[in-house]
Amino acid sequence: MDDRPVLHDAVTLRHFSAADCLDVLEGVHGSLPEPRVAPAVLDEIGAAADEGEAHCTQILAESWLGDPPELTRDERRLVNNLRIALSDGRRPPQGHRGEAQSIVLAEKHDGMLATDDNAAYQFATRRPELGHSRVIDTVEILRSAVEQDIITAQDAVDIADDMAAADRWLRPVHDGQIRVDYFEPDF
Amino acid sequence: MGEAADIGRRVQQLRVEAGAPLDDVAGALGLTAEELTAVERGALDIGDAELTTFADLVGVSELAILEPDSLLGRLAVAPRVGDATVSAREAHRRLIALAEIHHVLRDGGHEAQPAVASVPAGDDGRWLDRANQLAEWAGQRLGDLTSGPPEADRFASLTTAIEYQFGVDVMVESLGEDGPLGMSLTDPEFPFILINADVIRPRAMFTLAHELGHVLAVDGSEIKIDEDLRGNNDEERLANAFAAALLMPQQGINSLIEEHGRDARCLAMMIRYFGVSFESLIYRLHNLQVINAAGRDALKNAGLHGLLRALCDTEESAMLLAARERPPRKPPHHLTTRCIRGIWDGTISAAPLAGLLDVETDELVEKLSKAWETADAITEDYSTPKDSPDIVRQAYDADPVAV
Repeated sequence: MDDRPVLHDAVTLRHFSAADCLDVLEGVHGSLPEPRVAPAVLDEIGAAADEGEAHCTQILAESWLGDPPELTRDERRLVNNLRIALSDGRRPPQGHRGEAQSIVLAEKHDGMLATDDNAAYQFATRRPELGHSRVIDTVEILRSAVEQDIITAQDAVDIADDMAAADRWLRPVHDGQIRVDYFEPDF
Repeated sequence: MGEAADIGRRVQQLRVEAGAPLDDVAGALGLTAEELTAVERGALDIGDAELTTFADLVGVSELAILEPDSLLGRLAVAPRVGDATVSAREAHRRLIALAEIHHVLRDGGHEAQPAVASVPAGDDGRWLDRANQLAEWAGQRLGDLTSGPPEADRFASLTTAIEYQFGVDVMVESLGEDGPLGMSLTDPEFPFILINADVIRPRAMFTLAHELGHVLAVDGSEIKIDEDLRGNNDEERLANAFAAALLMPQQGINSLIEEHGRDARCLAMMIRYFGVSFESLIYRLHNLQVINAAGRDALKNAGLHGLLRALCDTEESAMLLAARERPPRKPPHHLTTRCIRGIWDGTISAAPLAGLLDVETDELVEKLSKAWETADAITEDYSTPKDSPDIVRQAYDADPVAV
């Protein structure tokens, strides 16, 4: 794993929290430089917590995520463009602020993006500032955890199963592949 | 003047243009009236979420506030509730969102390339003269719209001609049975026509020509929403006259009459040749003094059903009815191509293209990923530039217009 900041999208944080394994995420990314979360991601999770989603309350209590950085006016403009870029164009964007801020901050801090939003993941991999090597999802985080001996490959499978049981879905590219060897470092 | 003051002033300007009372807007934003006043004076920063809500409330893009000199900033607020149907407001949002996609693509180096700069200037004359002048000019560039067999799809021919000759995107999609017939964005940077797919083809055809009339005649940036095609003002009368002259040229009418005579079969042939409705043709024939007022009224009373009865020709009748089928939905050719290029270089995600093609984003993401695997292999093998749009198009079979 590069020694770069990892910006976590709300979808990925909620995946780990729903499976009650935010400690695994902290184990993999907690020692990397900040920032680790964008302000809009915390706003989004806070709003879900206010609506009674318990696993979101848990995320808000994770001090290792640190304080989200403020964005400059120019960065806010760029975020607005990325929100449009992430929307389906049926109406001006109402959401996507979390993904857009995460991408802007990952690019600004020469960092990485962690997201399980399929369109955002693919989009970020096409960004010249990020590319394939600097965009990861839950499965890749779990693989890193296995590689760093934080968990076993079987634990990774169990975590993925727990996420599915909590109605949290991995990117479709992983469909039908969740077995022990999928999380082995040499897969 | 700081940015907060610029944004505040813009918020106030748009709120006033939308006719939205201060208290109502403040309430919708979760602010007090005093707080909104402070925002408008530049004494208080407006939050990101409040900015989104405000823009949606008055029917503009957030870019209209953040970048008032942009195309989005040039467009007016949405029609007020009460002045337009829900469908019209939704269609207005759709057009604003498409203009936003254009804006982002342009910033990413994927410019639109409309070819409407050479439209002849008006001479402040009568709207009818201007309509005829524009129709003659446009007709020369669009070519003979009646070429090909009578059963050819004139609507498809016209959309293709407009897109290729003028670089003006034409999109056909469902706007609902009670939605507007069509709408257009007249900005010279990004002219765009949106036609409702939920109407019969002759009506869609006339609407398409009507919207082209707006695009060519309007000097500036406007969104025209046509819930009907009544000529309530000179701009609408001009667009109607333009559409009639473009679709039903006098010379073409005269030729058909000379060749086939003045009978029901000739009327049916004109309807199919020009791709227009019976009603449009009757008005055009009267305006050209091919028939007099009494003839016009008699034909109006007989209606299309009267014409079908008079034909005594089941094949001709069947073709006439087939020409009334609704047009298929169609994504805008140029914007679609620009989106594909923009996805390739990371300017936009797959979502805007999915919205244009009316497919699920995840489905498109999967197909694009597979296409890119092939493209990456090509590049690794030969180190040549990728022609990404073609690769993606082949993979997805997404070519919106037969080239």
